[in-house]
Amino acid sequence: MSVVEAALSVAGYLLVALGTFFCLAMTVGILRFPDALTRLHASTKGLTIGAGFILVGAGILSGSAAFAARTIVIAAFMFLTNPIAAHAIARASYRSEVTHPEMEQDEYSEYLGRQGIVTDDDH
Amino acid sequence: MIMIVVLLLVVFCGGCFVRVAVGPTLLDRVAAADAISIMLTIIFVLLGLVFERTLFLDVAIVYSLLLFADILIFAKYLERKDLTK
Repeated sequence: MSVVEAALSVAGYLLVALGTFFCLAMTVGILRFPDALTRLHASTKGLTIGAGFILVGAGILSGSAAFAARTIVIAAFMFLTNPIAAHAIARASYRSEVTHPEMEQDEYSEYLGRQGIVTDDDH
Repeated sequence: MIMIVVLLLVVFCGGCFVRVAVGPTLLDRVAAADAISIMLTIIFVLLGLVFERTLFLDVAIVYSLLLFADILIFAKYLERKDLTK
């Protein structure tokens, strides 16, 4: 095994370990945070970064160009779609909950000129 | 080595499933299920690395595409109901 292969292997395992740590942090956050919006904060950030690290690490560890290209495609797709999905869930959660007990300041509600739940004509 | 990471991710999926089971609102459950599905996509990729099959990667690509459409549809159609009960 040459020096380059050893360095690539070490880098791949380090990336996979770092991504696993981010997934662990995401799980702790999704279990311990008090509110739906804070849980989304934990899950989307931790999983976007964690999945990116693990996928790039797996692509490096595989050693084949076809495998690495597909993992990088999956990682890029996740970096594109994961924040959009989390934003959609957060928007739906904000609009469908009557009260937000953990929220100290709610400027968007004042901007909408409403309190609480959105009716069907306010879209 | 990679199988240890796969087992850890399965344990994390179990932790997120606790949130799916006990989550107070419906969108909590949707967010936790989203997290579980993304971790399952990563598990597919790592199993493809372990078994040296690129077929797992195609499954992972299609799974992540379907997941994105799923979450958007959930968020769209569950938006205006009273979900705090």
